[in-house]
Amino acid sequence: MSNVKNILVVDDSSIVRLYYRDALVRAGFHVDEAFNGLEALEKVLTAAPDLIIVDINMPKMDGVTFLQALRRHALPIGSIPALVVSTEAGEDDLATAVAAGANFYFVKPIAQATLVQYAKLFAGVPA
Amino acid sequence: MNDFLEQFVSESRDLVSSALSDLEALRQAPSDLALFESVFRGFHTLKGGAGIVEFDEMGRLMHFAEDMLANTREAGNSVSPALVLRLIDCLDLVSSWLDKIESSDALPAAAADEVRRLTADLSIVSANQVAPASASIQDSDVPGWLLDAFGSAYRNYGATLAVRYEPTPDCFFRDQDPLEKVRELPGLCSLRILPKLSWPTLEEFEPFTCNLVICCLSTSRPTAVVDHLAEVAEQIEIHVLTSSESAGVPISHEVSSAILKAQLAVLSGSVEEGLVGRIGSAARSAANLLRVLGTDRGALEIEEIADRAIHSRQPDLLSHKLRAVMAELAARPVVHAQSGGPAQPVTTSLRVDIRRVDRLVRLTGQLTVSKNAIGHIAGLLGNSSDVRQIGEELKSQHAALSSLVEQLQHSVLALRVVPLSHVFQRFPRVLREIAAKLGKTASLTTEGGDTEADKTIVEGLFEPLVHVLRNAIDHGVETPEERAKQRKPALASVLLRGYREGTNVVIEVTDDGRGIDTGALKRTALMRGLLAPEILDAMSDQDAMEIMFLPGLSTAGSVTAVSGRGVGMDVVRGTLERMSGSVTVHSSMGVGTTIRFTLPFSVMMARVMTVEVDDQVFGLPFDAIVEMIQVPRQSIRPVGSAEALVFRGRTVPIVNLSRALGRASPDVPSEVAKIVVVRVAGQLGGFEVDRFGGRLDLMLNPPSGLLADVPGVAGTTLLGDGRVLIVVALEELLE
Repeated sequence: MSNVKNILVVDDSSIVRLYYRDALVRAGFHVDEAFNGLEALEKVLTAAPDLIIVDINMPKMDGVTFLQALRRHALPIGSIPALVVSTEAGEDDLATAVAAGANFYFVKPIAQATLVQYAKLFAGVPA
Repeated sequence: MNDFLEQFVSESRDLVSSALSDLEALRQAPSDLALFESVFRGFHTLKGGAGIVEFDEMGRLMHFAEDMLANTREAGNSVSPALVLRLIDCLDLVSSWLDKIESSDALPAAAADEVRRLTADLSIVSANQVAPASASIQDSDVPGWLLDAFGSAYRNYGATLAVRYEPTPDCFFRDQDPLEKVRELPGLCSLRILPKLSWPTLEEFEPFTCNLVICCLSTSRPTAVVDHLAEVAEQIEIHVLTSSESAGVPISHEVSSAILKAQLAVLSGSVEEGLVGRIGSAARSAANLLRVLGTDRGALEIEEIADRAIHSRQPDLLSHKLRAVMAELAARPVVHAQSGGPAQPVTTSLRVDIRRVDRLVRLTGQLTVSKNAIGHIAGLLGNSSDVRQIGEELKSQHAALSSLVEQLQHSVLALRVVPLSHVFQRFPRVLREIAAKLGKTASLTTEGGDTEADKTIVEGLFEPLVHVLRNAIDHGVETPEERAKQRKPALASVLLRGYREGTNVVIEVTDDGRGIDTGALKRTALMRGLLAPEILDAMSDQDAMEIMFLPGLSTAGSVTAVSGRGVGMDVVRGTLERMSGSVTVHSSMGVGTTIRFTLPFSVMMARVMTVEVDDQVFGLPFDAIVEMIQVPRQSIRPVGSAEALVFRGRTVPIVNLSRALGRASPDVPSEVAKIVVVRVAGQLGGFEVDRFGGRLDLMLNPPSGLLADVPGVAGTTLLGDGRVLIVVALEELLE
C-alpha cells in the first residue's frame, strides 16, 4: 500500500491552486485539483482523497454547499477531513463552514509552511 | 465544579506558584536563561490551559505576558525589575480569577477590563525595554537584521537559512543586478527589501546608487545558496537557522488544541443532515492528529468511540473523549526547542507520581502471595490434624498480611498528598492586599512549600491562614514610625513556613512585630467579663495567650476593615480542630509572634473511641475526648430544654447521643449515666452513651450516599465483624 496521501485542492483561482500544489507536492503529497464544488464532488466520488482543502466563494457550487453534500455521503466518503481556506474572515462565515462540517478554517492568505503543517496533521503524516 | 475545571484550577495554581517563585529568582538573576525559560514555559502552559477551558481573557493575558517575554528574549535583553513586577501582577490576577472560578465556575465579569488595564501596563514596560535593541546578540542567537526584517514570523516559513544581501552602492555599475540575483535564489520562500539609509528627499535622490538591504529566507541547503551568491559573497551574510529556529512549526499545544477544538465545534452542530459525516470527519481529523503526535492507541480509542457515536447518532460521546484528550495533551510538559534544560514535569494534585502507583502494584502482588498462602493453610486444615502447626502458620501469615495492609493504607493515602505550596502561593497576593488596606508594608517569605500533606488539609488551611496573616499585619506589625523607634528594619517581615514533624505537618506564621501583650489580653477579658478576675490573676503569660482563643475577644484598639470582622481566633481553632489539628501561640513582647498550626499528615486516618448506643457502634474522635465518667442519673439536671452536668466545677451541657442522632431514646433510663466528656472548639460537652468501647485506629471514608446528608456524621468505616462504624462529627451535634 502506498503511503502517499492524496489531497484534493478545491479553489476557483488557478494561482491559488498552484500555490497550494507547489507546497503540498514538495511535502510529499499527491495533489488533485477541482475548480468548484461540483467538480470536487465528482472527484471525491471517483477517487476519494485523504484530505480536502476547499475555498468558500466559488462559482456553480460554493464550499459550504459542497461540504454539506460531502457530509451527507455514506462513510468513508462522508468523513473525509476538510480544511477551509477562505478570504471571508467573519465569525458567521466560520460558523457556517464549521456547521457544514469543516474540520478547520483558515483565512487567506495562508503561508505554505502552515498549510503543509496542517495538511500533515489532518492527513496523519508524521512531520 | 466539574473534574475538568477542577484539574484546570489545580494545575494553574501550581503553575502560578512556580512562575512566581521563578520570577522572584529571576529578579535576583535577570540573565539566568534557565529561569527565563521556566517562567516562559509557565505562562505558556497557563495559556494552553485557559484555551482548553475557554477562558479567553486569561488566554489573552497569558499570551500577552508570553509575548513580552519573547520580545525581551529576542532583543537579547535581560529581564528588568519593572517587567518582573508586571508579570507578578498578571499572575496575581490569574490567582484571583482562579479563586473566582473555584466558587462560580467562571471568570469575573470585570476580567476583560482587568486584562485591558494590565496589558496596557505591560506594553509600556516592554516598549521601554525593547528600545536598547540588539547590541548584545551572541553568535548562536538570531541576528537582529533577521528579526528587523521578519519579526518572529521568520519561523513560519520552514526556512533553513536566512540571507542578508547588502549590495554595494555602485553595484549597478559593476554589472550586478541584486533583484535578479535574489529572484533566482534557490529555495527562496520570503523576501523583505529595506532601505539601507533612510530615503533622501526627491531632490537629493540618486537613482543609480543602491540604497537597499535585501533579506531572504530560503529552504535550500546552505551550499546551494553560497554557490549562487558566490560573486557577491562580500555583500552577503548568511545565518543558518537551527532546527529549533526553522522548525518553528513544532506541533505545539496551541496547534493540537486548536485542531481538537475545531472538531468539537464540528460536533456541536445541531443539524441532523450530514451528522454521520461530521462525526466521522471529526474523528478522522482527531485520530490523524494523535497518530502524528505518536499516540496510536489514542487514535484507535477515538475511532472506536466514533463508531459508537455514529451508530447511536450521539456526537457527545466523541466530544467527551476529545475533551479528555485535550486535557491529556495539555498535561504533557511543553518542550521548547531552545530551552536550556530538560523540561520539568509539572506536578498537580490529580496526577500521581508513578512511583507511588508502582508501589501499590508491588503491594498488590505481595498481597496475592499472602492470599495464596492462606489458601494453602486452608488446604492443610482439611488434610492435617496438627492444629498447632496450622495455628502457627496462620499467625505468621496474619502478621505478614497486617504489615502489607498497613503499607497499602499508607500508599493509598500518599496518593492524596499535595504540597503546601498549593495554598502558600496564594499568600503573597493576600499579604499585599491586606498590607495595602492597612497602610503598612511587610514582606512575606515562604519556606517549606514542598512539604506535603493530605489534599483536604492543605485546602482547609487557606481560611485560617488568611486570618492569622491579617492579625499579624493588623495587630502585630507596628507602624513605620514605631518600628524606627524600636530600631527594627522599616520593612516588617512575615515568615510562612511549613515542615514535617513526625506524623504531623506544622505550619507557622511568624512576624517580627510588637508581640502579644498578655496584660492587655487579660484586661480585655476582664472588661468583657469573659473570665473571673481571680482566674486571670493566677494565669501565667503562656496561659494568658489562650485568652486569644476565647469567643468574642478582640485586642485591637479599634475595629478595622481588615481584621475586625467578628471572626476571631476561636474560629481558627475550630477550623483546625475539625481537621484534627491544633493551634498554639508563642509571642515575645517587642520581638514578634509565632502562630503554629499542627495538623495530622492525613485527615483520613482517624483514632476513635467506640461507644455503643442502641446496639449500634459509634466512634468519637479520640483527640476530642477529655474524660469518660459514670454519674448517678440525678446529677444530670434539666437546664431549660436541655440537660447539663456539673463537671469539675463547670457546667457541661449533656447530649444524649441516641437522641442527637435521631434514634429512639431508651424507654427506661439507666440508674447510672455513662458520659463521654469532650472538648470541641474550646468548649466542654458531654455525650450520654449506653456502653463504652475501646480505642480504634481506622481509615475513615467520607460519608456518601444517604449518609452524606445526615448531620453529625464525619465518616464511616467497616468493622471487623462486618458492622458499619459511624464516626460522629462532635461539633455538629453540640450546636
